[in-house]
Amino acid sequence: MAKKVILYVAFSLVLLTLQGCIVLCQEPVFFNGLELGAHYDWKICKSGGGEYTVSVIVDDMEAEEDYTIYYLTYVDPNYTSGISIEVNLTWDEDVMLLFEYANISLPDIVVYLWWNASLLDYAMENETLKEEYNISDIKYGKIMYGFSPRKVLIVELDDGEITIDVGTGVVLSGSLLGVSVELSYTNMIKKSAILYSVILLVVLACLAILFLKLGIKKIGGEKK
Amino acid sequence: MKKLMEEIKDPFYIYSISVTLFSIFVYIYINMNPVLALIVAAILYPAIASIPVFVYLMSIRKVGFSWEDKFSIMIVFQWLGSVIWFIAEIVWCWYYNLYYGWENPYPSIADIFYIAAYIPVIVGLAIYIIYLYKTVRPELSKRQVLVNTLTAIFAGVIVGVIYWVMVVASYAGEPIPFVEFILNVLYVFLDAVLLVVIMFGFIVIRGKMGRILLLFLISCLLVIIFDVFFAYLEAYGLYYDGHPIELLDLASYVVDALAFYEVAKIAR
Repeated sequence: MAKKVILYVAFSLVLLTLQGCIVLCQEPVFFNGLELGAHYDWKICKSGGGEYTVSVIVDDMEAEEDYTIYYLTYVDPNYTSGISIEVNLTWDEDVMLLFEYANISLPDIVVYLWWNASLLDYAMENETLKEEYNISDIKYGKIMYGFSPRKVLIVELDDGEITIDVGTGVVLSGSLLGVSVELSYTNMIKKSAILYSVILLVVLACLAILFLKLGIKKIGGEKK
Repeated sequence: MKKLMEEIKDPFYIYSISVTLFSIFVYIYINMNPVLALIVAAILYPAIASIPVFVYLMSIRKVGFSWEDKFSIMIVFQWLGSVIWFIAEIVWCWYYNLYYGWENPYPSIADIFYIAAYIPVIVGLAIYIIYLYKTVRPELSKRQVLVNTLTAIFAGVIVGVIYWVMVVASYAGEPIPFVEFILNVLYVFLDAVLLVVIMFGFIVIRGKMGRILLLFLISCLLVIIFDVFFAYLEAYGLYYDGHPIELLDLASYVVDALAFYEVAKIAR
């Protein structure tokens, strides 16, 4: 009987640990893309024709106990040489759209370019939050970024649909407010990264086997 | 020294040194360009972790496995540990870092594999070391046995305590979630036990297989040093994916590969 109880407790603990790990890991990291030196370019195409590029570069950050100020350089056709903007994030507060907290007002479409992925995850089950941001549906999806898969959030808004990268929270592609948006460059997500890793793995493994055979052959030769 | 130079001329040793130097240059580069650190480290890690797995596969048939042959138990269990660590790196790097884009996913499914790998590694080493210890015991005086035992246990306890203090400090007074608490306890406990086994191992290294055991012990020691430094850096908020301390972890995989190469040399 005692053995059974111990086994049951041990089994429950293992299950609980596994379950806990999985549950904890389902919470994505928010604004993970706000790394120093991070660079994002979005190509924005108007429905009537004509396109322009919006660039955001993370220049600096100032972390305090309960808030962090990010210093960004923002470039668009109105600020061709770039303008410095500050985003003040108080960590007690839930922030859905990064650029809502910028110290200057930015075009509507730009405000929708950077989301809080963990809050979007929470909004899946929270109708109030969805209504607040005019979201009609949120679902997880997978896209091929280059030759590697990447986890995304597909967000349907009242006036468009966007695909958001779970890791960074930035919009990868979509159409919104009558314009289409595409992330044209970033140094934060590497296209085909998993494929590069697989190729490197195969190369290093093949070289290891080759050098192992050479080494053994050399010893055999010396012995003779 | 002459013998060492001859060893370094061995093609597989040249390969291992090249892989290590390549990793060092990559880490210098990513630390000069921190924005690339997460991606590049996640690309490199599983590739390096795969080397010992494939190297042993080349001699798996020749070495074989028997419960009577304690050496074969150690080799096969070390390989199982390498395979599980390789899976852990794939989960951490490919699934979390590159697929989800999450940095430092702790606790995660990867931790189940990181922890599971300790079991075959510790058991395999312990079985072989206990076997060797029984063989050399008649040569040792009672005092030597006592001193050795106490030294090994003392080292394990000291490192375990330092490691635990660092882990607790990393939460800065915040309550530790239950799952993280269990995982932290397991990591500290398993590293402490592994260190005790390593200390005994250094005492009993003997014979033709001595170099193989030495390489496995060095590899495990590198893992423990990495874990303690990792906890220290986490405690002070200094750790990031791509931190140079990861070179110790990567070096442990290369040393494991060298050990399996030595096995292949004996088994040829």
